[in-house]
Amino acid sequence: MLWLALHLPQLALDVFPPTPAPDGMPQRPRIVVASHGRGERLALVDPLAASLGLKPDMKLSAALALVNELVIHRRKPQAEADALAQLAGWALRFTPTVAVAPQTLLLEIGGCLRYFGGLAPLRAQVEQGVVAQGYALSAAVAPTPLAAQWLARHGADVTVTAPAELPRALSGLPLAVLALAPAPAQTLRQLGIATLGQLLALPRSGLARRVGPALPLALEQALGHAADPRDGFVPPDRFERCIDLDWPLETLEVFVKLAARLLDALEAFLSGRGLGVQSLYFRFTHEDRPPSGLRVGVGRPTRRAAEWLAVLRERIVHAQLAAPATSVTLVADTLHLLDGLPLTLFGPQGGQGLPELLLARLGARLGPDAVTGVATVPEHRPERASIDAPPGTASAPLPVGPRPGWLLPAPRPLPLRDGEPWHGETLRRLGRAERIESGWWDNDDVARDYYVAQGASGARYWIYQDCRDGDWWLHGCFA
Amino acid sequence: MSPPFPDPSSLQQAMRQGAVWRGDRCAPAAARPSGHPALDVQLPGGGWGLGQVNEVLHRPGQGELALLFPALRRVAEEGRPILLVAPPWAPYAPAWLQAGIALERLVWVRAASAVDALWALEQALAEPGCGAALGWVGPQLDDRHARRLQLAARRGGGLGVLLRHGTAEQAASPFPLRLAVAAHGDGWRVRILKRRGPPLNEPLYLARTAPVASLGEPPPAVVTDLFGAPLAERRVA
Repeated sequence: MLWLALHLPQLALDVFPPTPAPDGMPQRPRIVVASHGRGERLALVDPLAASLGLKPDMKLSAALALVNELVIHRRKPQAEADALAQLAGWALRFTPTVAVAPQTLLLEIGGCLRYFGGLAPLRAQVEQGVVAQGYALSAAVAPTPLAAQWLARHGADVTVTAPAELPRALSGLPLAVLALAPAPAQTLRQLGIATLGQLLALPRSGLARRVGPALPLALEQALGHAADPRDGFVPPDRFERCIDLDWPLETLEVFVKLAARLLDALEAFLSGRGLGVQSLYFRFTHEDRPPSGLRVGVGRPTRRAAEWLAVLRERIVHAQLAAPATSVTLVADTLHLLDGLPLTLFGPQGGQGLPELLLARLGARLGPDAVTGVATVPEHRPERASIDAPPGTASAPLPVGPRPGWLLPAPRPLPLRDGEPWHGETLRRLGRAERIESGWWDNDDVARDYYVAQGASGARYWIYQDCRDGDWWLHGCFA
Repeated sequence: MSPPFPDPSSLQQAMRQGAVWRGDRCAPAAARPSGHPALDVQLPGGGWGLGQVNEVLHRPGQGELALLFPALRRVAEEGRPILLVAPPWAPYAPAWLQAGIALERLVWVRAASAVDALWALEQALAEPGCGAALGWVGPQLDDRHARRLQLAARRGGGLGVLLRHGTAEQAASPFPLRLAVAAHGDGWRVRILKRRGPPLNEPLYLARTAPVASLGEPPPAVVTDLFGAPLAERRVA
């Protein structure tokens, strides 16, 4: 077992997307505050704020006394948990075993080193991915999850691969990495213990009597002497991501830019799990109206943000916002298995099958019913023998006589001239009649004699005479 | 000393390879055989041009589909899709199957407006995976739209056919091929109004290659065609 710990020291700050400073104004220091008793204390400060003398645990009033131009965020524990879960879902692309610890992700990488070409390439991929998503990161590798977690939290970029090296690697760490409760921390401080090395040297039974059994057990687990089972992260089976807007969203063109961010996140979520989606829902909240929504679908599950964006662009051509929106939420709740299904070898240029993306774009703009295939139905009545079907539906030929390529939506009555049916020209019947008499069982029975007829111009028509009243009708064109 | 004239054999060789285009022949082009040998001879490249829009002027219902069916059948057999954009009527499934076109390759795109139809046709023409795109537009098509269609077809490289009601025979268009099709007797009369090559003043008369009744088994009654000959015999002939 080999564990890669990804510690996110700035997670509380990173969940707030940075707002660019107005033109000409210097960047303002950002801090995160949390309630602490009656007042508020700083939970985290960014490097700029730290350089101005602000420190975590400082009172907010003291911080404002030092620096008056501050961007202050209230700490959002739920957003941090969501961000960690989203990262965990993303990390599943590297290894099936991802555990979530406070502020830290633990990836079991012993089994996938070979696939990624060794430890260094794997770490580079993982760490670049995390940084690209906008999170500060410190990472460490150790044979046990706790040791990796402590090393990463300390910020020491250490790689330990053999369990025998663990005591030496851990001995230099300060006790702060253990994140102890105040009481045991106080006891250890009174004993004059400042590093893990000093703690490891103490007999475990005496330590258990003084600070409780949890700490000695954790030490044994960190050294690999005691079992440390971890529950793997189970990703949610739906995707929902919200962007709250500082200013109301007026037009769908701006919405497309926001959607691109949401779709990128969706792609990261789906590709970690080998899934795709076929239908997405965007929910807009408005200030004084109930929420409205926009549904987008494609013919085949996909997860590629670029494809979704292309479809979305066409979808919004004929749509508009009900009212200015204050937030946009992307919901994908029916996920389809995508990996393991055959993909086209040469991409769409290979020419086999239907160009799904094209059909999706056409359907998004023209309406879902505007793009169909046709299929035959084993039925004698001609108007019922052909129906709309989803594109790509195969059908069997019908054992029938000649049929016209175009069928009129409804038969058109033909007048008679000199006793012959007339359609701009006199129609001459070719050959004998094909009698179709069917449908008595559903009150739509027909009794018709169909003929192929040709006019003087050479055009061929499919006409019939109703056997009951003798009227002539035009039903199709042999184009 | 180099000879004063180039070697005549190398000139003939260059002519044979098609490196020099003579004005009395059709320009070489990527094409898909139309399935009508008499027509293919007259078309540049020997068939419907690929990567371009082929313009067919017609009156709907006068044989335009039967003219295209052989090429479309070939497209479907290659497993490539055929898109019909805004056809005048519903494609009738049994008939298209009788023409040998597998219906799983056929996509029918309806458009509520002429603008939507042009947009859909442009998208279909520009799609490399699309084997054939057939679009029906009205007689009026402004030059800007026509140019966009031609550019899209060049991007996509498939078979593009624009079927227009046969009015604007003399109007300028950026499309390199323009035919006028009309039913005539037991076949069609095709006039090539414009092609990359010398003008053709004589109309072509094509006969229907496939019999009207293409059944798995002969029809129960003897069906005669316009000239009174039984169709079954014609098929054998």
